[in-house]
Amino acid sequence: MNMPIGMMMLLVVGVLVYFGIAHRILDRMRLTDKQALLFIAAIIVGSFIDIPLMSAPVQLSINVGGALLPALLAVWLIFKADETGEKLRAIFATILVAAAVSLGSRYLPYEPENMFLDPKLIYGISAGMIAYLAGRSRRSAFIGGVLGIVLSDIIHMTTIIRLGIPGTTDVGGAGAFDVVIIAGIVAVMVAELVGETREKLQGGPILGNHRPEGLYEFSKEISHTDQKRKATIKQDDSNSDHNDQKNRGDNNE
Amino acid sequence: MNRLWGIIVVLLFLCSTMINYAYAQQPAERGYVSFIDENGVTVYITGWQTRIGDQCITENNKRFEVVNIEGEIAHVNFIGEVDLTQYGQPMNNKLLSILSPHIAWAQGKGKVAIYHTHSDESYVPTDGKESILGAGGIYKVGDSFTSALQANGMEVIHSDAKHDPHDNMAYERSRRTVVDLLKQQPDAIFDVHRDAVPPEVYSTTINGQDVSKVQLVVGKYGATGKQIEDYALQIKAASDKQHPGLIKGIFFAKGGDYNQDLFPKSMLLEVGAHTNSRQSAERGVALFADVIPTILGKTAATPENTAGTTGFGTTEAGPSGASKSIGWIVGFVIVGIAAFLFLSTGSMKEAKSKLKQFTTTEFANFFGSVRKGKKQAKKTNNEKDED
Repeated sequence: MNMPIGMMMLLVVGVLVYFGIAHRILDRMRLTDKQALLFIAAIIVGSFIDIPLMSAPVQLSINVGGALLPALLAVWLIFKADETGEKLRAIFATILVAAAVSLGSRYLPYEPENMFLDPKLIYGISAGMIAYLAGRSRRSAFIGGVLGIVLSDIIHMTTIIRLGIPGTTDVGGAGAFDVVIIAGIVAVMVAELVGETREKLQGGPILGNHRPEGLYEFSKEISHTDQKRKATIKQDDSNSDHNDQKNRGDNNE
Repeated sequence: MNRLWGIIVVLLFLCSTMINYAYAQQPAERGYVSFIDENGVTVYITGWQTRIGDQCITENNKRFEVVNIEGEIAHVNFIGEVDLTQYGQPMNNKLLSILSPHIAWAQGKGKVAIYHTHSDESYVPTDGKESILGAGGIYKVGDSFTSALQANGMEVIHSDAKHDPHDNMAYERSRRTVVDLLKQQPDAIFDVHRDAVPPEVYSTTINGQDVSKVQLVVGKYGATGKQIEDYALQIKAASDKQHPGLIKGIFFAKGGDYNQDLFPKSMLLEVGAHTNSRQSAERGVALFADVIPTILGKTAATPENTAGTTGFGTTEAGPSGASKSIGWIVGFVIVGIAAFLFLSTGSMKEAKSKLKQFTTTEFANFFGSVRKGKKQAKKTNNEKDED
């Protein structure tokens, strides 16, 4: 592959930004920063592995990085949900997203000249909106985005079998860049945007003295840490002063 | 209860939009759209309905933008003439020529990957139907492209992957094929289609042969659109030199990126229309294959473009498409972060503190000592639980 440096830089910047965003999204999915980073590494390695599941009547395979890992994370998130209601809402969102994708793929414009929004985003955005309305949760947005697309792939497979259309279904076949992962990421971003905007429109978090207890305040945290640090420094200073005095006293003796 | 109503309203909205678009996409009586300029002259014809803001570059390098649409007539404004000569300037700077990757160029004759997102597309006069699911005539056009490229000494991977039915998710299915092909490290990747317009739009005679012209389609949706635009102009410049009249034009579609975001040397080709014969399309694409070695820098016909040797641009032509695309991506990130901080915090003070918290604790987590990292992770987890 020969490319001028400009194009290589474009590829590098694009990939870094993409995985950077993915990391910020994954660390909201009950993963620590390090776990999220490891998960991304696993997705990249898994992108090169396709597991064949069926060869007739149509070929069916699943990509480890593009579908298996994110789907497992989504299922784990459902199991880890605190309430049964939350679990049900996530499953409900998944089914609605799959229905939206299947309907959308059938009726939305498909020629390059008249698509109005890239399909990758349409399904991510609808997943985010549906999941937010169903559960008002980022995690269920992620579950809806990821499992919704996987489910829509299964619907696609049954459709082509039913109509006798020759074809293949490689769930998550584009690995880290597959619509499964993109829909999951976009869905969380939409849920975040909708949620934060809604909160902002309602007046935003209360600041100052009447702020509800337990609501995180970054400036307070930082200033608190700063004060603590300053206090420690001061203490150190006074200690050293004391020592100095002591030394002086020693000297006097 | 309110939530239930919310879901119902959104679903109704989605359904109504889908139904509207389902009707909108039906080709009307003639089945194609004519671009009419300010003087009432038809300057471009395309198979499907277009949208305001779409652009095209005609065969004679005039750029137009759609400003108004009335049924099958799209009124366009003349934006300007594109000077393609700057996309074929000979390299004159010795220092820069040393920097260019000549060694890589000499290593092989180049590898090209070909696939077909719309596997059903066919040519009525030859194939009998305009759509044959899973076995469209388009594969034979791809075969002809393959053998012509091989005759030029290039290595070709022609994917026979099928992405039917011809629907809105076809590009997402072909995305998987593209990534699969990219794993084999091609120098360029082409998605070969056919258009849907009357035969005269694409039909021409080159070197005494009846051939179908080729249209380039650039997805202007993503941040990488600028780079692909540069690449398309480079292809047209090279083709105009080698086979004048072969490229029908360049269509800049705003609605998608057609998987061109995955690789900077991706191009969507439309070879002829369903009304042309498949053989003429095969001849057209074979002529187009002659241009590929030039574009990939394997021959000296047009060794340079506006991007210069480094690919970042030149003083005369300004920044390259790749630089502009990088600028867009970085811009999106900055605006995104600013918007998120504004929305998620109550004030500038909070936003600043949140940013400070991010840059100190998050990075300490990655780069700090193991013990500190563990502590931080524990702390972050606690915070998340509070969320």
